[in-house]
Amino acid sequence: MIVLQRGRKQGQDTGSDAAELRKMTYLPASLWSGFFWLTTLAALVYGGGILLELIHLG
Amino acid sequence: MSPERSQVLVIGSGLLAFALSVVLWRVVRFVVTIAHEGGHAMVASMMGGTVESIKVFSSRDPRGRGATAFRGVGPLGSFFTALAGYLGPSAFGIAGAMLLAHDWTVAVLWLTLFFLLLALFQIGNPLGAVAVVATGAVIVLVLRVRLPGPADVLRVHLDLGSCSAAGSGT
Repeated sequence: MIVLQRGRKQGQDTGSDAAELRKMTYLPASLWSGFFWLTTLAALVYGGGILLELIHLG
Repeated sequence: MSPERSQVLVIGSGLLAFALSVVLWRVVRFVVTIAHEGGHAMVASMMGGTVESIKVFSSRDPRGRGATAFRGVGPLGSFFTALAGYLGPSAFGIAGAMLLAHDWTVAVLWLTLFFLLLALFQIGNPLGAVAVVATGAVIVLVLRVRLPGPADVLRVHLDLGSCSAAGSGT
């Protein structure tokens, strides 16, 4: 995610997934980048919760 | 396995993994790239498409970190395939955590090896092949040193932890 963001800031972002999604959906690449940040952090919390046995699976 | 020791193991492993990722990012990022491209490839297949090649690029490559070529997925399939890259590593991580929560430790290693083998069939450049084989080799090493029961694995982890802590102190 940090690599994606850095590439976008350097203005060299023409082929990234966020750029592809912008072309497909007409939604800005920053929104897709933010979405990936959110899902990555959510997965970290959820996965950590499972491993720490704070979340119990059925 | 008492809950306190288990949590020490989880937090210790997490911190170790984080530290290794920061220090060895130049190497670790290849594994993340494989998981990213693997996410694309898996969803492209699930959408009825054909994965033609999976490439892993060097860190200086202007094309990015990797690329997965596929065909026959349609517009909606393309959308989900594009989403799958950045979600890939997280999804594989959660799946692994779920298996570990059920004490299926060895299954995590074998499944990883199986998916790496699938990726190897469609790998599209030499660097990608090296990255996939090297990652698989590490998994095989871990499989070979595995010990009979969870309690033994836990003990080894804790011993390793105290060794490295003592080592860094001197």
